[in-house]
Amino acid sequence: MSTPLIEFKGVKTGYGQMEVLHGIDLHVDQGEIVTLIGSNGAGKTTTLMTLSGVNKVWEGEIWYEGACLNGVPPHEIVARGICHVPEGRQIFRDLTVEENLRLGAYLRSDQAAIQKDLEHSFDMFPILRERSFQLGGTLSGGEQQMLAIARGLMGKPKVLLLDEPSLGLAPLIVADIFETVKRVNKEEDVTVVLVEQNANLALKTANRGYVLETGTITLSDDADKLANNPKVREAYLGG
Amino acid sequence: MLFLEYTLNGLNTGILYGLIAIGYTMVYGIIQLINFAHGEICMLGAMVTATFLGWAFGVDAIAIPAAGFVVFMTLAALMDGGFGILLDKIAYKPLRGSSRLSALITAIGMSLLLQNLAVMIWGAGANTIKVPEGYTSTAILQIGGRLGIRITFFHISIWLFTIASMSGLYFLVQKTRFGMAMRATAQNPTAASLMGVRLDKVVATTFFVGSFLGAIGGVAVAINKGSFDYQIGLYIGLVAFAAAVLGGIGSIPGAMLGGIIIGVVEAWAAGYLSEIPHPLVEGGISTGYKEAVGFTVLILIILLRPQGLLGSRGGDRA
Amino acid sequence: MIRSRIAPLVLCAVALLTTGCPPADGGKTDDGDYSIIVGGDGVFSPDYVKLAEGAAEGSYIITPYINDTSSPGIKAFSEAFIAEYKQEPDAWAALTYDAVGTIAVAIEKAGKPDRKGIRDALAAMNSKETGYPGVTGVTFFDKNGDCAKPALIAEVKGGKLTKSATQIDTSSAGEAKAGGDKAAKKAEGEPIVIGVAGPFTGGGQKYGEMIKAGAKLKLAELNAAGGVLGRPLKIVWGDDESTNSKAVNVANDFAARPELCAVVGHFNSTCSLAAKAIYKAAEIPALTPGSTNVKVCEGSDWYFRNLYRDDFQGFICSDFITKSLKKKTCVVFFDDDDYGTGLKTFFEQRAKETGLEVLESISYDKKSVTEFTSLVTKAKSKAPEVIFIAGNYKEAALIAKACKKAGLTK
Ligand SMILES: Nc1ncnc2c1ncn2[C@@H]1O[C@H](COP(=O)(O)OP(=O)(O)OP(=O)(O)O)[C@@H](O)[C@H]1O
Ligand SMILES: [Mg+2]
Repeated sequence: MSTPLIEFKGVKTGYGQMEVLHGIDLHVDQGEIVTLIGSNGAGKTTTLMTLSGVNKVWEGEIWYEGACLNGVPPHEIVARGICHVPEGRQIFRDLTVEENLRLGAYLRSDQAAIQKDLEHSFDMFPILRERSFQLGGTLSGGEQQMLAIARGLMGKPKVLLLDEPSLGLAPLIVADIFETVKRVNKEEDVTVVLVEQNANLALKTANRGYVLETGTITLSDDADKLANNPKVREAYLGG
Repeated sequence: MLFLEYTLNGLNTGILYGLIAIGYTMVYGIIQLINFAHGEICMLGAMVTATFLGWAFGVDAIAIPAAGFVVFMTLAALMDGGFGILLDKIAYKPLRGSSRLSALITAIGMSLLLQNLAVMIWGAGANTIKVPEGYTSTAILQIGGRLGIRITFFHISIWLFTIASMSGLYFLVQKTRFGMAMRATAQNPTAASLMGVRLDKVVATTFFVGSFLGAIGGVAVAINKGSFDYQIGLYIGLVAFAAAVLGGIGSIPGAMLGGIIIGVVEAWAAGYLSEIPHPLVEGGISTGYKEAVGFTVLILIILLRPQGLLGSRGGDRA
Repeated sequence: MIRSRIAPLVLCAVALLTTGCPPADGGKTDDGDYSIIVGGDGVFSPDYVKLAEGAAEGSYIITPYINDTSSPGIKAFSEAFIAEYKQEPDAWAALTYDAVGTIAVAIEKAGKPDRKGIRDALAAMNSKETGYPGVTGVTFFDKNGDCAKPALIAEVKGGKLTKSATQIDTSSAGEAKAGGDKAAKKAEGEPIVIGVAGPFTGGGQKYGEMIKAGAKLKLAELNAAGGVLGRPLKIVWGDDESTNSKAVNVANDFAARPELCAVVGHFNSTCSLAAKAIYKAAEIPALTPGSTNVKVCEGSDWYFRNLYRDDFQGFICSDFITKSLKKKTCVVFFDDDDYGTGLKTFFEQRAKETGLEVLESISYDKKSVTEFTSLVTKAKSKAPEVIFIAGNYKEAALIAKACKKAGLTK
């Protein structure tokens, strides 16, 4: 097996004095969809935030494309192709929908292609086209979530980090979004790291998965095997 | 007529307060820090301008060439922009992410430090800024005879500068990609950094622009007043901060509006306070209270509209 | 991005250069004469002229002392002062110089550095004959501790404070005399300690520098000439920063030093008023070289001054305007503090008696005032013949500048 695209080697981090991740090892290969499942407060968001450089690594190393990411600032990590759609929408409330989308493409300079991708986002989420001059903060929760995902895709990422994309969305739209994720994964060769409360759906979408319990990885396997693992079924798939 | 003249006086000082208030409001907008040393940055701008002009044209020069004045003031303001960035790098950046209180205390400390530094370099005495011949005294427009309203080059130049800098800022913030990044950072710095925005660059730009405008404002206040010393930053800083709060801290047009309101109210107070009878003192209420009137208006408006005139109620910041 | 904001500024400058300034309207205009500025003695400082940058030209200022070197007594003092400090002495340097001299004589008369003895010796200087002849004239005290010294009129001419051709006060305090015995003697033994209090830092620092310079010069001369009672004289400095609370601290500090036998100070009237009670309680004689508020020596046998009071000064200012300048209307600017309000009150009192019309009295607070444009607009609306300023030189310079900008003065 060739070297993985992303690799965590004994990563520890936390907030203030409190350690939240106690030495995480994981890897993601080029072209994969990998999911992280775990209960509330397990450290899933923290893991993604550490990968995108917002949280600093305390101990251990994160490697990406053959280079160590420790100490690399967030904007530099974005520039290297890792786009993060953060948990809880985090759209820019006082910017218009279109401005939000354009910010997703902040580091790109190919104006024509950006325009095309903008149209593409509107095709994907037609409601956003209608609302394109409305302020982000005035959108409904679900619309904001769509905007956040579309904004992440505007960065033309090599790796897409999705933190609970289904939060607050109607089932039909959730299905749509996961279809989109699969499509960009397949057609545009985007590697995806997916954090999801809906473990059922996550494991159906992903190739592989990790189970995170209070800052430690306790299980890792192919997605379908995890879905059939009795422990996982009991804890995360509702029996 | 007299009322008009007071209002005009107030407008003239008010836009200078506004220019200085922009520095408070922009920095607060981006990093939620009340940069109490901003007044001192403005003071430094005036000091450096005076020093440059002294070097170039001699300390005893009565009048200096207009081109030299503009060039050296611009140089000093650019340098002051650099001081602003330096202030952030040295004093505030190491505290980013720690409590707001510690940053605030550091800011107050920096304010005192810069004042003491200024005393060490320039002494505690009063300084003046040399201006081109007739710059502040020759009337371009005279309404109502010699003792009527006079509009001088000084007034025209501060109006033009204010209009130019406000439109420049509007363009920068609303119409450019970088401005969009600045607004995004103001609303949600973490999310902005996840879009690839460099926080350092945004913060440095903010400090630069605020300090640059503050330096020009400081110079103009010093010229308008007639002389200045190391303490000038303390007072104008306070008034400009009040202007920023009044206009809604974080809002650039708000800062200018707040500045103008405070300036005009102060001028009215200077003109009419003594006409209000005082129960104990013959000759009405002392015009020494004109600043107090400005702050009273601030308090009243803040009671009615806590977020300030053009401010928005708290965003989605945690 | 930066360039885009500078461009308009540069354009504006270019416009300025190419159009040039239109000629200033010269001399008299449709509205009659320009106003004349008259200042109380707080305005008397070379820095008034310097800070006002030309706007001070033609102002008249009341002062207890002018460095008029045509008088032989002053010439020697002035030369020694300039040799030491590279600038001319002002009134406060000269008065402090004399005050230290007066205290030294009182110590000699008392025969020992004893607080009570010195006070009695000062009180005994009650006539021109028994007084102390110095560069500011003869210092002698009435039973209150006040001093009758003449007020002189200075005029700003060619950027310098000169003695005006018109003087109003005819009372004379005698010819100015330079310091005493020049024979070099050696002072020996325990030093005799006096305190000198003034605003050595803070807003009144310029005054403080002059006070220190005057005191040091006298000290050096005294010690070179054998000291006081054959012992060297030593000065302890007390910085009151022009504030009452600091003045009280200084007074308490002085009172706590048993070896300290007399005080020269304080300078600001408000500081003298604040410190007075402490000196009285500690029984230390104090001689102020600058406080002119009428109440300063009142109610204490321990406080003296070696210059006139504000009532006298106010009268002189008003009479100068009516009699010498022959003007009938004025606007008064006065500092909100004890000195400014006191001087303004006596000025107005005299003005009322002599038919000088005070069109408006405008107060300001030197601690907070930022600019005078609107206050001067108010003055301007009354079109006064004279602007009288009862305040300190710093604000006076700003008022003078604002008056010029407003077209009120030339
Ligand atoms: N900014 C923060 N400051 C302090 N503690 C934090 C912060 N963010 C998260 N934590 C703590 O770190 C731990 C892990 O949080 P994290 O957000 O990574 O969990 P999560 O697995 O994403 O949970 P959820 O499924 O609820 O989103 C929690 O105990 C949380 O309280
Ligand atoms: Mg989470």
